Amino acid sequence: MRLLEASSAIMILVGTFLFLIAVGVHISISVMAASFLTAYFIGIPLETMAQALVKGINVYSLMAVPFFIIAGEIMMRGGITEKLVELSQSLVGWIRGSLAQVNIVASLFFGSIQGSSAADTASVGAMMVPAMEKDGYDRDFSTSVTMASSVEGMLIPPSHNMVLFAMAAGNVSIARLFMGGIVPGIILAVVLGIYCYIVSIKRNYPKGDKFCPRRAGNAFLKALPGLGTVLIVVVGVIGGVFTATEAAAVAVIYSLIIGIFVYKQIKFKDIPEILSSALKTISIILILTGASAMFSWLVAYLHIPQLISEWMLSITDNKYIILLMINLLLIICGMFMDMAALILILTPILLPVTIGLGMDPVQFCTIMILNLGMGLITPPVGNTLFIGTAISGRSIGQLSRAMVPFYIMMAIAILIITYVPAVSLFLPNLFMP
Amino acid sequence: MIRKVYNGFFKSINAISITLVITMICVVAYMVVMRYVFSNSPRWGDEVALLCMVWIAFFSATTAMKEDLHIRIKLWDLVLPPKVMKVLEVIVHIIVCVVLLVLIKYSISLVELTGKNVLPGSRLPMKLMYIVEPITGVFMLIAAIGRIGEIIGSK
Repeated sequence: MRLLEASSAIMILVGTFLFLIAVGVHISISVMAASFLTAYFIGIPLETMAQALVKGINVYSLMAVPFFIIAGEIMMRGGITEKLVELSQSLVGWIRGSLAQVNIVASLFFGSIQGSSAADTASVGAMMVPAMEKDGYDRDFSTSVTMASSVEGMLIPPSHNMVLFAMAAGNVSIARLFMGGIVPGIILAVVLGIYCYIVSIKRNYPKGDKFCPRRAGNAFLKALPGLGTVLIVVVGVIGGVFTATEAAAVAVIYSLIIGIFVYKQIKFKDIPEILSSALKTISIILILTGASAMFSWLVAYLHIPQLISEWMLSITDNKYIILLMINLLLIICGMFMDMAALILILTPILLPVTIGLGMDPVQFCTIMILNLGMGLITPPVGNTLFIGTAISGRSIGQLSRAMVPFYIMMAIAILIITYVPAVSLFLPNLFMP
Repeated sequence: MIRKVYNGFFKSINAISITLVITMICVVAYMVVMRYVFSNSPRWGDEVALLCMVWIAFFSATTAMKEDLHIRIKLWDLVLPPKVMKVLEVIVHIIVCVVLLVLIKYSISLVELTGKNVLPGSRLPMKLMYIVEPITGVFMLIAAIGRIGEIIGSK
């Protein structure tokens, strides 16, 4: 009887949620609706759910998320993008297909400022796609490079998505997550770089100027104040000086000072507008975090992770196949839903399963972010893909066809990160065992 | 006239959110300075900053509802004819209204349950934390109804 009740409760929870998002109800509202209905069904006072909504937001480490988003927004207004592109150009401009490589490396740097793939595509893409076209690159190719490489940024610290993961996971160190993302982010860049190199040789795309240490030094000095945010975070959080929240707040103040006094692109009167624009992202994420706290309360109450583990183990007890199944599940979910929402909803369900398989939460976090990041650039629903269509003027169909080789390269990166734990665990274990 | 009041109302909500964001940044920055320079951080700091964030979350969610920014999957735009789509959109927002009504009802009784409890550090009433739910619940309801009006009014 008890078991029957639990399984019908799970059906109500998942069924209502899926039905409502399929109809087109806002994800946060769908989560609330599913949670209220399920709580009502199993006789939990609905006040508990209303309380979980607030409690899910009232979390100290969550404050890092709005701060990182604001700092990124300020830096972007402060004209950091051009400086990062120039720096990348001075570093990898000598390789054949230079602008493609520049695009990939610029996203790596950009990720240390702003951990959003859509923002990366919008700002790096707006610069690089026209420049690449002028140099004779195919527009589908250049947009695809921009979109695929924008996923790197979410693995490079600071990444607000990792903070969300840490929140949803409960007891995971944000510093370890930040460390863990660096190598996978670079691996993704290398994998994409190799593909672009091969294409550039085939299509005879141009080279840039020879490597010049002086130019690189100059570009580095110009970009350095902007890259200071990443120094604050890396040194502060990983060195254990600051909490992520404190580092993020310092990064906000720091980026304001840089934007106003060093790069001189921001004025005091722009601040409300910058905050207003950052709030658009923040509002969506915070309320989702609260709503998914309701959801994960019920997920834990109904022992859903145990059921999923048992179900997966009943299909196969081969760890590698289970991991492959999890990857596929993440990619499919990512095709339809936004990253932040999926991190908040799926982490409480899947993390216990992977821990049961002996996986470190840090590794699972990088796998999840990479898979869901790929979801952002796959049809039918993908924020980054939509921005790619906007900046290139191509249709979703055209772009996703051009993206196929990039999907394959990203899948290779996902497989490396899934089956070689050292990739994500080497740095965190080295610095903070 | 109604439209003007409606837009002005949500503009002022956005202004409140921005003010709260600035307050939150200042409080946390102040805490960092107090902690690392004077190694004496006040106990109220984290609570006030968190209170700001909870309020920001709900207030900005209201604006996001009005502007239709909340993440949702729009699979049907491409497939369904515009007229059917319009009906579906209205249904979606009616569902939103129902969920919000449930939220408002139970968050009011949550506020009542909180009673005279206070937050430990700042001694602020705990009600402040939860009262934002029914208040912005009503605001979001207004925004959702406004959306329905816009959808029906649109060609």
